[in-house]
Amino acid sequence: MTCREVLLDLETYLDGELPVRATLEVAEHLASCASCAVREEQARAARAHLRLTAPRPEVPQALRERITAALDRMDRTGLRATRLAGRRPFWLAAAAAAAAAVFAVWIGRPADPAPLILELVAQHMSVARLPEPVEFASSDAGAVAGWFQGRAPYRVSVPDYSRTGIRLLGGRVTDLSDRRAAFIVYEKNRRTISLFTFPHYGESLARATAVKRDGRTFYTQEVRGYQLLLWQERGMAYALVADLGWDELFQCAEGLLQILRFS
Amino acid sequence: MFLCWERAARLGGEVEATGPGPQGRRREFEEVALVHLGALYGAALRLAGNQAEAEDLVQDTALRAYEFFHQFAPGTNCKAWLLRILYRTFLNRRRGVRVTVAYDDDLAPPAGGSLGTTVGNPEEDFLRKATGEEIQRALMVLPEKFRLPVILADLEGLTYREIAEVCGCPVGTVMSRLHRGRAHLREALRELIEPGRSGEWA
Repeated sequence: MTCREVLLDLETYLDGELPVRATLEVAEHLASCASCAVREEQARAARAHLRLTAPRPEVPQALRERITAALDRMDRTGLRATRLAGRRPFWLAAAAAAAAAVFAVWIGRPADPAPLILELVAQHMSVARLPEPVEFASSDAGAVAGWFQGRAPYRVSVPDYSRTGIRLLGGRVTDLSDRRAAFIVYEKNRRTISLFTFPHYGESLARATAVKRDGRTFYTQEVRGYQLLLWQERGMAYALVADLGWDELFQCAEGLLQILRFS
Repeated sequence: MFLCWERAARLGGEVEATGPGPQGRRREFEEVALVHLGALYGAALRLAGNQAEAEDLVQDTALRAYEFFHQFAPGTNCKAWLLRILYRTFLNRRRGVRVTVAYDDDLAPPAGGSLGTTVGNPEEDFLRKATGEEIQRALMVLPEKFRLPVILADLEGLTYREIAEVCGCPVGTVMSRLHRGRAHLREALRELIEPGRSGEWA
């Protein structure tokens, strides 16, 4: 091998990617040619310097915590982790079998809910079980709305349902598939009511039942005894999940719609 | 199974938390995958160029990786596997913004005569004077398709084949991009360290 050939191959040689025979030839040449050996040494030093000197940004603690929390959520629900693998948690099969058409407008037959709906219900269920269901606890709707500023990349309206006996517990930020969702938590008679606000990506809700009210289309679906009510407006989706019956959910929706109308 | 128990013993004996169940899976994921969070974050920052997008990218990548962890082949390079998910996530987010899937220009041989001076030229000792900040700045001025192979090879130590899988292009393209990316990087560093002495950009 000539010096020129060796220098042509040196980069690949240092990457450890030359074929065995060429590697041996380069090594042999380097052992016997002082000037090429100097070039090799310098190239190695430059590489080591680059690797050791390039900044290694510290992973922000908040990011680590968000990831841990999201993984915990996946562990608890088993939902996202199994959904795409083609397996479903056993309780979903049971839920699909047990789901009954309790709603008067129900016309479809119970079917596997859309992934988005499953995720909403799963998040509601996991939060309902937590001793600390919210990240920011306050019964002041204005304070909760303020807390979401900067945490959600859109305005979050927080309705006050206290006159109907529904107590605001606070808010949390959650991840719904690939987007950030504002998750507001209420309580009535020790039952949790979840209100999600998130950008609408146009996912299929085909298996939910469409209900027209006041010229607006609501999607409803019952999953494992929880009622889910979802509607879309101006690129955003709003979803309520609870096990308090449809009347209560529609009243909550009406309360939120009144706020949205004035905003 | 034995591996799990052995590992649990090494970690201080929380044997009940391992095994094939969900907790074992979580622990496995933390040990095998989450240890690369720093590498993911570094690559994400250099791909996205801003912290907010980088954080979102890393989080999406971690969750997706956990979701599909059963597809990871034990014994292969988990960092490369994660970086592949990261890059795909990045491209998915950029989809609609711009799509660059052209290899033709990379396949052209590098400008003649430049090869001899690209490696270990005695005049290029300046490389060893580069500070972390200069390296970072030089990396960020590299066009993205050259930047990624350089990051993966020179900072993260991936093989050509692994880089090819991350980038979704042939190994030959990786070699060409890596070669040209390194040449770009050298020139960018030279311009930062010894302004005015810069040669031509490839």
